[in-house]
Amino acid sequence: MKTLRFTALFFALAYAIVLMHYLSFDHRGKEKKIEESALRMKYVEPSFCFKEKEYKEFAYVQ
Amino acid sequence: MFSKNLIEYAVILLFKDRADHLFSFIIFTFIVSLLSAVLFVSDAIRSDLVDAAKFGPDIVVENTLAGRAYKLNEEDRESIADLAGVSAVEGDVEGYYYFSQQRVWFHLIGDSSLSLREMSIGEGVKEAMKVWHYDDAFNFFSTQGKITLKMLKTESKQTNVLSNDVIFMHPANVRAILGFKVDEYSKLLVTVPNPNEVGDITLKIVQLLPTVKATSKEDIQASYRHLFYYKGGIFMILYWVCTVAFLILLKNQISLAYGEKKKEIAILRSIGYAIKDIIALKFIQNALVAFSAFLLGVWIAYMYVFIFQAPLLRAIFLGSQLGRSVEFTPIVDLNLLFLLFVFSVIPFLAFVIIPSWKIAIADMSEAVR
Amino acid sequence: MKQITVSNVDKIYNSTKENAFYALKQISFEIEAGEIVILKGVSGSGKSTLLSLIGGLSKPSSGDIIVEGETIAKLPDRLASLYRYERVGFIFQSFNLLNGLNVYQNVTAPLMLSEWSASQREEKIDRALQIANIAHKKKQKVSDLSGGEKQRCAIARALVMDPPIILADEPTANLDTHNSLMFIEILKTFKAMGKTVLIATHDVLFEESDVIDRCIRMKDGEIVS
Ligand SMILES: Nc1ncnc2c1ncn2[C@@H]1O[C@H](COP(=O)(O)OP(=O)(O)OP(=O)(O)O)[C@@H](O)[C@H]1O
Ligand SMILES: [Mg+2]
Repeated sequence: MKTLRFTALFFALAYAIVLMHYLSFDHRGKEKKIEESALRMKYVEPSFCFKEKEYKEFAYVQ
Repeated sequence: MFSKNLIEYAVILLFKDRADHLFSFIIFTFIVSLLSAVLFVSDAIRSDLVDAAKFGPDIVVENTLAGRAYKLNEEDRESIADLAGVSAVEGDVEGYYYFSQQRVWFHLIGDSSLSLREMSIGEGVKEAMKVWHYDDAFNFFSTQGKITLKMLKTESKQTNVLSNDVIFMHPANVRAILGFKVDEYSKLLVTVPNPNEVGDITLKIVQLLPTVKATSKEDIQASYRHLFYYKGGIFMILYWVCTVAFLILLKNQISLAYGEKKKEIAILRSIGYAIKDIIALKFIQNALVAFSAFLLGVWIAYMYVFIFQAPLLRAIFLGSQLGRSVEFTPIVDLNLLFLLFVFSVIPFLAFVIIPSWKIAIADMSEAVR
Repeated sequence: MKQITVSNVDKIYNSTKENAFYALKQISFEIEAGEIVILKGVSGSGKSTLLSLIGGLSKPSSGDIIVEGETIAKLPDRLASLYRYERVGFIFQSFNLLNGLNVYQNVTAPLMLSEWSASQREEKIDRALQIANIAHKKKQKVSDLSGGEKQRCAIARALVMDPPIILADEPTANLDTHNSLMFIEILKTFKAMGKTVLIATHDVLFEESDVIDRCIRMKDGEIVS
């Protein structure tokens, strides 16, 4: 029982860190910045400088 | 649901066999953290791009020549503007400039708010220029000679997924560097006020100008949603690694009911444990292992991706250039995590509980003799 | 009333196959409450089989076994388990302890099916360990115990639920004379506690002892006297 309580406590703390990080991240701010940037670029293209074609083949649809 | 005492004894027995359970625990944690790390990275990249694509034009028109991107001219623009349902067509100049010393391509984009002597650059561009000691100005070479632009500012790091390789400059400069005449464009951005007409107009544009490629906003957004090539490359390798690891895991789970453990089940049965008690014991033990492995795996993945910014993995997704500078937006797809949970934990439990049950219902008098 | 009544019990192994084997044939006997009985017979005469039937570990092919007025031969698993849990303590030749756990954790095994608190369990365990004379090794891993100590640990586990019936299958076969005599000493305690004890053995030490009330002899699955 002590072990279980300890495990539960460990995960509660671990996930508290995650939750804090998640909530403290400025999702709105980033969205705004992206919005601004996208409006300026008019047409967005992901900025992957895939010099090597292999990168694309490895993760992305051609 | 289960009595406190039974749970306590399940934990005692779990620690007795900790070596066997630890093996399952480690493999399961590994599988979960691998899959969720990749899920987190791809979701983070995708969400930024899908966000950005919301603000794109309704239709993007590009010209091709022998299958490659080519210029469009003013006549093309006008003929599209004349189509019914089109409210505006904007000619855009942008393109790629090869910085041969560093062997990278810069993405030049016109921005008329900038003066003719300035530019605004992305993080990656800045880094590439810095290597060659271009600290506050850069020389572009074109057929018309050298053009020197001052670095006005650097784009926000947060938009790196879009702007890492981008240089914003006055459209006239883009034209000069890339060799576009005043009436030539690289793309035409079409505004269609009625979203229902977009599909029709896209078709009409292609009929009108047979060499062009017209892409609707919807298609662009869809292409970002289906950005990743799940059927090959990194994902295929990942599937295989996970499948093999999972098979090893399941085999280990089955072995948790055989050998020494089989005798243990018979002993417990002989001192009064019913079949349901044996199953409860195994369930408690393995559910504990599975839950904690799953929680730990997801936690590790979150820390790895969003706090430590996914070292190693990021290069695979972003390329070595962009690799260093994109900050992942924490996006947690609970639906997918739940699916992962269901499809991993159920077999995990089944592969130890079913064999245990089969042993528990068998005649135990042999085993305890 | 008789504590245990066995009537016309048959046990056929592999009954559906060609090598069907009658391990027990028409066994009938009765045991009074508080009696200490030994089952004698050469190897293969069916002693272990009979004990496992009385202990509810397996079911007879035909016939009845009635313990304290309840027919145990046809109980469903839940009730058969409850019967083993409440009324029978088993002591096996090979001890059948859970290696890797200590003496305390082994003895506590049956108690964990109950709702008793830790202190209630502790009390019962201490009492059983006292009777079995193993209290001083409470925290020791059972794999590190000597044969005699393992035996006493198994006795403590059989006693911890305070069952009225104790079944022992060759309890002294893995013990030296000294430990065997100690086991017979413990039998005296059982007698004082009023337990019904049935022991399968061919150890002659039991016959010399005066705690034994009766001896049932078996041969080829039948009772000869
Ligand atoms: N599962 C089984 N299948 C077939 N035959 C069995 C099975 N179990 C026991 N037997 C046979 O039943 C007979 C009685 O076995 P049992 O173990 O009861 O003998 P025993 O009197 O306890 O012998 P020992 O003194 O050697 O322990 C033996 O001949 C044995 O071979
Ligand atoms: Mg035997």
